[in-house]
Amino acid sequence: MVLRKTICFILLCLLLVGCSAGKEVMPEIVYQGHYDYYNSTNELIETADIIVLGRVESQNVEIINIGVGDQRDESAEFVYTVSNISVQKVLKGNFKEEETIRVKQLGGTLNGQVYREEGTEFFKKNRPYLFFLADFQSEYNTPFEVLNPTQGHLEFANDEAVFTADSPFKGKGLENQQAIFEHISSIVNNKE
Amino acid sequence: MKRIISLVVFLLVFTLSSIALADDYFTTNGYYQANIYVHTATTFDTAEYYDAFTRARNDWNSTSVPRKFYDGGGAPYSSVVYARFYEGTWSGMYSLKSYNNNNWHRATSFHIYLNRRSLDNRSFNFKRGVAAHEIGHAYALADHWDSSPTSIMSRLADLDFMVKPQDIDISRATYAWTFLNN
Repeated sequence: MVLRKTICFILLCLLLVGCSAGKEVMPEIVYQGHYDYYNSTNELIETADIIVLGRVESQNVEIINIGVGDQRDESAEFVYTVSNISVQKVLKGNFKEEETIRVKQLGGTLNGQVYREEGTEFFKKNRPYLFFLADFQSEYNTPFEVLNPTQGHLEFANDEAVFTADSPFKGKGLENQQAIFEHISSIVNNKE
Repeated sequence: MKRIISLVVFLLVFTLSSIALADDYFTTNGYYQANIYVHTATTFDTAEYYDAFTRARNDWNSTSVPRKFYDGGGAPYSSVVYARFYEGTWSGMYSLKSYNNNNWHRATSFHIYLNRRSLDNRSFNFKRGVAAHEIGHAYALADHWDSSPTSIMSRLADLDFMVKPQDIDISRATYAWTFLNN
Protein backbone atom coordinates (compact mmCIF):
# COMPACT_ATOMS: atom_id res chain seq x y z
CA MET A 1 0.00 0.00 0.00
CA VAL A 2 2.80 2.37 1.03
CA LEU A 3 4.75 1.42 -2.09
CA ARG A 4 1.70 2.12 -4.26
CA LYS A 5 1.24 5.55 -2.73
CA THR A 6 4.94 6.33 -3.15
CA ILE A 7 4.85 5.33 -6.82
CA CYS A 8 1.74 7.45 -7.43
CA PHE A 9 3.42 10.42 -5.73
CA ILE A 10 6.60 10.05 -7.80
CA LEU A 11 4.56 9.74 -11.01
CA LEU A 12 2.59 12.85 -10.13
CA CYS A 13 5.81 14.76 -9.46
CA LEU A 14 7.28 13.60 -12.76
CA LEU A 15 4.10 14.63 -14.56
CA LEU A 16 4.20 18.10 -13.01
CA VAL A 17 7.87 18.54 -13.81
CA GLY A 18 7.25 17.30 -17.36
CA CYS A 19 4.40 19.76 -17.86
CA SER A 20 6.38 22.70 -16.60
CA ALA A 21 9.57 21.85 -18.49
CA GLY A 22 9.62 23.14 -22.04
CA LYS A 23 6.80 25.50 -21.21
CA GLU A 24 9.03 28.37 -20.25
CA VAL A 25 6.95 31.42 -20.94
CA MET A 26 8.75 34.48 -22.18
CA PRO A 27 7.49 37.51 -20.25
CA GLU A 28 5.44 40.05 -22.14
CA ILE A 29 6.75 43.40 -23.25
CA VAL A 30 4.01 45.79 -22.18
CA TYR A 31 3.28 49.16 -23.71
CA GLN A 32 1.41 51.62 -21.51
CA GLY A 33 -0.01 54.44 -23.60
CA HIS A 34 -1.83 57.49 -22.34
CA TYR A 35 -4.56 58.77 -24.67
CA ASP A 36 -7.07 61.57 -24.84
CA TYR A 37 -10.43 60.52 -23.44
CA TYR A 38 -13.64 61.51 -25.27
CA ASN A 39 -16.58 62.57 -23.12
CA SER A 40 -19.05 62.98 -25.99
CA THR A 41 -19.84 61.53 -29.39
CA ASN A 42 -19.37 65.01 -30.89
CA GLU A 43 -15.79 65.22 -29.60
CA LEU A 44 -14.96 61.77 -30.95
CA ILE A 45 -16.56 62.42 -34.35
CA GLU A 46 -15.00 65.85 -34.78
CA THR A 47 -11.52 64.65 -33.79
CA ALA A 48 -11.51 61.64 -36.13
CA ASP A 49 -9.98 62.30 -39.57
CA ILE A 50 -11.67 59.18 -40.95
CA ILE A 51 -14.85 57.35 -39.93
CA VAL A 52 -15.60 54.16 -41.84
CA LEU A 53 -17.53 50.95 -41.42
CA GLY A 54 -15.28 48.09 -42.39
CA ARG A 55 -14.58 44.41 -42.03
CA VAL A 56 -11.23 42.97 -40.97
CA GLU A 57 -10.00 40.77 -43.82
CA SER A 58 -6.58 39.81 -42.55
CA GLN A 59 -3.96 40.75 -39.96
CA ASN A 60 -0.20 40.66 -39.69
CA VAL A 61 2.32 41.62 -37.03
CA GLU A 62 5.13 43.97 -38.00
CA ILE A 63 7.68 46.36 -36.57
CA ILE A 64 6.78 49.89 -37.60
CA ASN A 65 9.00 52.90 -37.14
CA ILE A 66 6.66 55.75 -36.16
CA GLY A 67 9.39 58.40 -35.91
CA VAL A 68 9.50 61.35 -38.24
CA GLY A 69 12.38 62.89 -40.23
CA ASP A 70 15.84 62.48 -38.77
CA GLN A 71 14.30 61.02 -35.59
CA ARG A 72 13.41 57.69 -37.20
CA ASP A 73 15.97 55.77 -35.17
CA GLU A 74 15.56 52.40 -33.48
CA SER A 75 13.92 53.96 -30.42
CA ALA A 76 10.86 54.79 -32.56
CA GLU A 77 10.23 51.16 -33.54
CA PHE A 78 7.19 49.45 -32.04
CA VAL A 79 5.49 46.12 -32.65
CA TYR A 80 2.03 46.48 -34.17
CA THR A 81 -0.77 44.23 -35.33
CA VAL A 82 -1.93 45.67 -38.65
CA SER A 83 -5.46 44.86 -39.83
CA ASN A 84 -6.31 45.05 -43.51
CA ILE A 85 -9.85 46.37 -43.58
CA SER A 86 -12.28 46.31 -46.45
CA VAL A 87 -14.28 49.56 -46.35
CA GLN A 88 -18.05 49.08 -46.53
CA LYS A 89 -19.30 52.60 -45.79
CA VAL A 90 -17.55 55.97 -45.55
CA LEU A 91 -18.94 58.50 -43.07
CA LYS A 92 -15.94 60.86 -42.97
CA GLY A 93 -12.87 61.01 -45.20
CA ASN A 94 -12.14 60.46 -48.87
CA PHE A 95 -12.34 56.75 -49.45
CA LYS A 96 -14.32 54.50 -51.72
CA GLU A 97 -16.35 51.51 -50.66
CA GLU A 98 -14.50 48.22 -51.26
CA GLU A 99 -11.17 50.03 -50.81
CA THR A 100 -8.75 48.39 -48.38
CA ILE A 101 -7.20 50.43 -45.59
CA ARG A 102 -4.56 49.48 -43.01
CA VAL A 103 -5.17 50.13 -39.29
CA LYS A 104 -2.50 49.49 -36.66
CA GLN A 105 -2.88 48.46 -33.02
CA LEU A 106 0.05 48.29 -30.60
CA GLY A 107 1.15 44.77 -29.71
CA GLY A 108 1.26 41.30 -31.21
CA THR A 109 3.49 38.23 -31.11
CA LEU A 110 6.74 38.40 -33.03
CA ASN A 111 9.39 35.65 -32.97
CA GLY A 112 7.76 34.15 -29.87
CA GLN A 113 7.88 37.40 -27.91
CA VAL A 114 4.49 38.75 -26.86
CA TYR A 115 4.05 42.52 -27.00
CA ARG A 116 0.88 43.86 -25.42
CA GLU A 117 -0.68 47.23 -24.83
CA GLU A 118 -2.81 47.51 -21.71
CA GLY A 119 -6.42 48.12 -22.75
CA THR A 120 -6.03 47.02 -26.37
CA GLU A 121 -8.08 44.14 -27.71
CA PHE A 122 -7.23 43.14 -31.24
CA PHE A 123 -9.99 43.42 -33.84
CA LYS A 124 -11.68 40.15 -34.67
CA LYS A 125 -11.41 38.89 -38.21
CA ASN A 126 -14.53 39.06 -40.42
CA ARG A 127 -16.44 41.20 -37.93
CA PRO A 128 -17.83 44.62 -38.90
CA TYR A 129 -16.52 47.60 -36.98
CA LEU A 130 -17.03 51.33 -37.16
CA PHE A 131 -13.58 52.92 -36.96
CA PHE A 132 -12.75 56.42 -35.69
CA LEU A 133 -9.27 56.93 -37.12
CA ALA A 134 -6.35 59.31 -37.12
CA ASP A 135 -4.68 59.89 -40.49
CA PHE A 136 -1.02 60.78 -40.00
CA GLN A 137 -0.72 61.90 -43.63
CA SER A 138 2.50 60.00 -43.40
CA GLU A 139 5.23 60.16 -45.98
CA TYR A 140 6.23 56.71 -44.70
CA ASN A 141 2.83 55.12 -45.38
CA THR A 142 2.23 54.57 -41.67
CA PRO A 143 -1.14 52.81 -41.20
CA PHE A 144 -4.06 54.65 -39.63
CA GLU A 145 -4.78 54.26 -35.92
CA VAL A 146 -7.92 54.41 -33.78
CA LEU A 147 -8.20 57.55 -31.64
CA ASN A 148 -7.83 55.47 -28.50
CA PRO A 149 -7.90 51.72 -27.85
CA THR A 150 -11.33 51.57 -26.20
CA GLN A 151 -13.36 54.44 -27.69
CA GLY A 152 -11.97 54.50 -31.23
CA HIS A 153 -14.05 51.63 -32.58
CA LEU A 154 -17.55 50.19 -32.31
CA GLU A 155 -18.17 46.53 -32.99
CA PHE A 156 -21.48 45.40 -34.53
CA ALA A 157 -23.30 42.11 -34.12
CA ASN A 158 -26.40 41.77 -36.31
CA ASP A 159 -26.42 45.53 -36.86
CA GLU A 160 -26.53 46.20 -33.11
CA ALA A 161 -23.58 47.96 -31.48
CA VAL A 162 -21.50 46.11 -28.92
CA PHE A 163 -20.34 48.97 -26.72
CA THR A 164 -17.06 49.11 -24.86
CA ALA A 165 -17.48 50.16 -21.20
CA ASP A 166 -16.48 53.77 -21.92
CA SER A 167 -17.97 54.27 -25.37
CA PRO A 168 -19.49 57.76 -25.64
CA PHE A 169 -22.29 56.18 -27.71
CA LYS A 170 -23.39 54.03 -24.77
CA GLY A 171 -26.68 55.00 -23.13
CA LYS A 172 -27.53 57.63 -25.76
CA GLY A 173 -30.34 55.66 -27.41
CA LEU A 174 -28.04 55.00 -30.36
CA GLU A 175 -27.92 51.26 -30.52
CA ASN A 176 -28.43 50.13 -34.06
CA GLN A 177 -26.22 50.79 -37.03
CA GLN A 178 -28.65 53.07 -38.86
CA ALA A 179 -29.25 55.36 -35.85
CA ILE A 180 -25.51 55.64 -35.26
CA PHE A 181 -24.81 56.43 -38.95
CA GLU A 182 -27.49 59.15 -38.97
CA HIS A 183 -26.10 60.68 -35.78
CA ILE A 184 -22.55 60.75 -37.19
CA SER A 185 -23.64 62.11 -40.57
CA SER A 186 -25.58 64.95 -38.93
CA ILE A 187 -22.49 66.03 -36.97
CA VAL A 188 -20.11 65.64 -39.93
CA ASN A 189 -22.46 67.55 -42.29
CA ASN A 190 -23.06 70.35 -39.79
CA LYS A 191 -19.34 70.83 -39.45
CA GLU A 192 -18.82 71.02 -43.23
CA MET B 1 -7.00 23.61 15.72
CA LYS B 2 -9.61 26.36 15.35
CA ARG B 3 -6.88 28.97 15.65
CA ILE B 4 -4.85 27.37 12.90
CA ILE B 5 -7.89 27.23 10.60
CA SER B 6 -8.68 30.91 11.35
CA LEU B 7 -5.10 31.87 10.60
CA VAL B 8 -5.11 29.96 7.31
CA VAL B 9 -8.44 31.57 6.29
CA PHE B 10 -7.11 35.01 7.22
CA LEU B 11 -3.91 34.50 5.22
CA LEU B 12 -5.91 33.23 2.26
CA VAL B 13 -8.29 36.22 2.29
CA PHE B 14 -5.37 38.62 2.77
CA THR B 15 -3.43 37.08 -0.11
CA LEU B 16 -6.42 37.05 -2.46
CA SER B 17 -7.40 40.64 -1.63
CA SER B 18 -3.80 41.76 -2.13
CA ILE B 19 -3.75 40.11 -5.54
CA ALA B 20 -7.05 41.77 -6.48
CA LEU B 21 -5.75 45.15 -5.30
CA ALA B 22 -2.50 44.59 -7.15
CA ASP B 23 -4.34 43.74 -10.36
CA ASP B 24 -6.22 47.02 -10.28
CA TYR B 25 -3.57 49.54 -9.40
CA PHE B 26 -0.15 48.03 -9.98
CA THR B 27 1.78 46.91 -12.99
CA THR B 28 4.59 44.38 -13.20
CA ASN B 29 6.70 46.85 -15.16
CA GLY B 30 8.17 48.93 -12.37
CA TYR B 31 11.90 49.71 -12.41
CA TYR B 32 13.96 47.22 -10.37
CA GLN B 33 16.08 49.65 -8.34
CA ALA B 34 15.07 52.39 -5.90
CA ASN B 35 17.01 55.10 -7.67
CA ILE B 36 16.15 55.58 -11.30
CA TYR B 37 18.56 57.22 -13.74
CA VAL B 38 17.26 58.28 -17.13
CA HIS B 39 18.94 59.98 -20.04
CA THR B 40 17.29 63.19 -21.22
CA ALA B 41 20.15 65.34 -22.43
CA THR B 42 19.78 64.97 -26.19
CA THR B 43 16.32 63.53 -26.64
CA PHE B 44 14.12 66.57 -26.15
CA ASP B 45 13.30 68.70 -29.16
CA THR B 46 12.43 71.76 -27.12
CA ALA B 47 13.25 73.29 -23.75
CA GLU B 48 9.54 73.33 -22.85
CA TYR B 49 9.37 69.53 -22.77
CA TYR B 50 12.61 69.29 -20.79
CA ASP B 51 11.14 71.75 -18.27
CA ALA B 52 7.86 69.82 -18.10
CA PHE B 53 9.67 66.53 -17.50
CA THR B 54 12.04 68.06 -14.95
CA ARG B 55 9.09 69.56 -13.03
CA ALA B 56 7.32 66.19 -13.06
CA ARG B 57 10.46 64.45 -11.83
CA ASN B 58 10.90 67.00 -9.04
CA ASP B 59 7.21 66.63 -8.11
CA TRP B 60 7.74 62.90 -7.53
CA ASN B 61 11.13 63.42 -5.84
CA SER B 62 9.62 65.82 -3.32
CA THR B 63 7.15 63.19 -2.07
CA SER B 64 7.75 60.63 0.67
CA VAL B 65 8.03 57.77 -1.84
CA PRO B 66 11.31 56.00 -0.94
CA ARG B 67 12.64 56.21 -4.50
CA LYS B 68 14.21 58.97 -6.56
CA PHE B 69 14.26 59.76 -10.25
CA TYR B 70 17.51 61.29 -11.55
CA ASP B 71 18.58 62.85 -14.79
CA GLY B 72 21.81 61.26 -15.93
CA GLY B 73 23.45 57.90 -16.11
CA GLY B 74 26.40 57.02 -18.23
CA ALA B 75 26.40 55.74 -21.77
CA PRO B 76 25.11 53.46 -23.10
CA TYR B 77 21.91 55.05 -21.91
CA SER B 78 19.58 52.23 -20.99
CA SER B 79 16.56 54.21 -19.81
CA VAL B 80 15.71 57.22 -21.93
CA VAL B 81 13.01 59.88 -22.13
CA TYR B 82 12.10 61.20 -25.57
CA ALA B 83 9.94 64.17 -26.58
CA ARG B 84 9.53 63.93 -30.36
CA PHE B 85 6.92 63.60 -33.09
CA TYR B 86 5.47 60.11 -33.40
CA GLU B 87 2.83 58.81 -35.80
CA GLY B 88 0.65 57.45 -33.00
CA THR B 89 -2.47 58.76 -31.24
CA TRP B 90 -1.08 58.49 -27.69
CA SER B 91 0.28 61.50 -25.86
CA GLY B 92 2.57 59.58 -23.50
CA MET B 93 4.01 56.08 -23.52
CA TYR B 94 5.97 53.90 -21.09
CA SER B 95 7.64 50.93 -22.68
CA LEU B 96 9.71 48.17 -21.12
CA LYS B 97 13.04 47.70 -22.90
CA SER B 98 14.70 44.98 -20.86
CA TYR B 99 13.55 42.96 -17.88
CA ASN B 100 14.55 40.54 -15.16
CA ASN B 101 12.61 37.78 -13.39
CA ASN B 102 11.12 39.92 -10.62
CA ASN B 103 7.38 39.67 -10.15
CA TRP B 104 6.59 43.35 -9.90
CA HIS B 105 9.64 45.45 -10.63
CA ARG B 106 10.74 43.74 -13.82
CA ALA B 107 12.14 46.67 -15.77
CA THR B 108 15.91 46.88 -15.94
CA SER B 109 15.50 49.60 -18.56
CA PHE B 110 12.59 51.48 -20.09
CA HIS B 111 11.71 54.28 -22.45
CA ILE B 112 9.28 57.11 -21.79
CA TYR B 113 7.92 58.87 -24.88
CA LEU B 114 6.15 62.23 -24.96
CA ASN B 115 4.41 62.61 -28.31
CA ARG B 116 4.66 66.13 -29.74
CA ARG B 117 1.98 65.29 -32.31
CA SER B 118 -0.56 65.06 -29.46
CA LEU B 119 1.03 67.46 -26.99
CA ASP B 120 2.32 70.49 -28.89
CA ASN B 121 -1.03 72.29 -28.80
CA ARG B 122 -1.66 71.41 -25.13
CA SER B 123 -0.79 73.48 -22.06
CA PHE B 124 2.53 73.24 -20.20
CA ASN B 125 0.60 71.79 -17.25
CA PHE B 126 -0.81 69.02 -19.42
CA LYS B 127 2.68 68.09 -20.66
CA ARG B 128 3.91 68.05 -17.06
CA GLY B 129 0.92 65.92 -16.00
CA VAL B 130 1.57 63.38 -18.77
CA ALA B 131 5.25 63.21 -17.75
CA ALA B 132 4.26 62.64 -14.09
CA HIS B 133 1.83 59.91 -15.21
CA GLU B 134 4.54 58.10 -17.19
CA ILE B 135 7.01 58.30 -14.29
CA GLY B 136 4.27 56.63 -12.21
CA HIS B 137 4.59 53.53 -14.42
CA ALA B 138 8.30 53.27 -13.51
CA TYR B 139 7.08 53.16 -9.89
CA ALA B 140 4.93 50.11 -10.76
CA LEU B 141 1.65 52.06 -10.90
CA ALA B 142 -0.88 50.96 -13.52
CA ASP B 143 -3.43 52.91 -15.53
CA HIS B 144 -6.88 52.59 -14.03
CA TRP B 145 -10.44 53.70 -14.58
CA ASP B 146 -11.64 55.29 -11.31
CA SER B 147 -14.81 57.13 -12.23
CA SER B 148 -14.06 60.12 -9.99
CA PRO B 149 -10.35 60.44 -10.61
CA THR B 150 -8.25 61.19 -7.55
CA SER B 151 -5.07 59.78 -9.03
CA ILE B 152 -2.70 60.97 -11.71
CA MET B 153 -2.70 57.40 -13.03
CA SER B 154 -6.44 57.50 -13.83
CA ARG B 155 -7.22 57.52 -17.54
CA LEU B 156 -9.96 60.04 -16.73
CA ALA B 157 -7.75 62.50 -14.83
CA ASP B 158 -7.83 66.01 -16.25
CA LEU B 159 -4.10 66.57 -16.58
CA ASP B 160 -4.54 70.29 -17.29
CA PHE B 161 -5.37 70.60 -13.60
CA MET B 162 -4.04 67.47 -11.94
CA VAL B 163 -0.35 67.88 -12.72
CA LYS B 164 1.32 66.30 -9.69
CA PRO B 165 1.19 62.86 -8.05
CA GLN B 166 -1.72 62.86 -5.62
CA ASP B 167 -1.83 61.44 -2.07
CA ILE B 168 -3.23 58.15 -3.34
CA ASP B 169 -0.41 57.88 -5.91
CA ILE B 170 2.19 58.49 -3.21
CA SER B 171 0.59 55.83 -0.97
CA ARG B 172 0.43 53.30 -3.79
CA ALA B 173 3.99 53.96 -4.99
CA THR B 174 5.24 53.56 -1.41
CA TYR B 175 3.20 50.36 -0.98
CA ALA B 176 4.52 48.98 -4.26
CA TRP B 177 8.17 49.51 -3.34
CA THR B 178 7.66 48.33 0.27
CA PHE B 179 5.47 45.27 -0.28
CA LEU B 180 5.80 44.32 -3.94
CA ASN B 181 9.54 44.80 -4.08
CA ASN B 182 10.70 41.78 -6.03
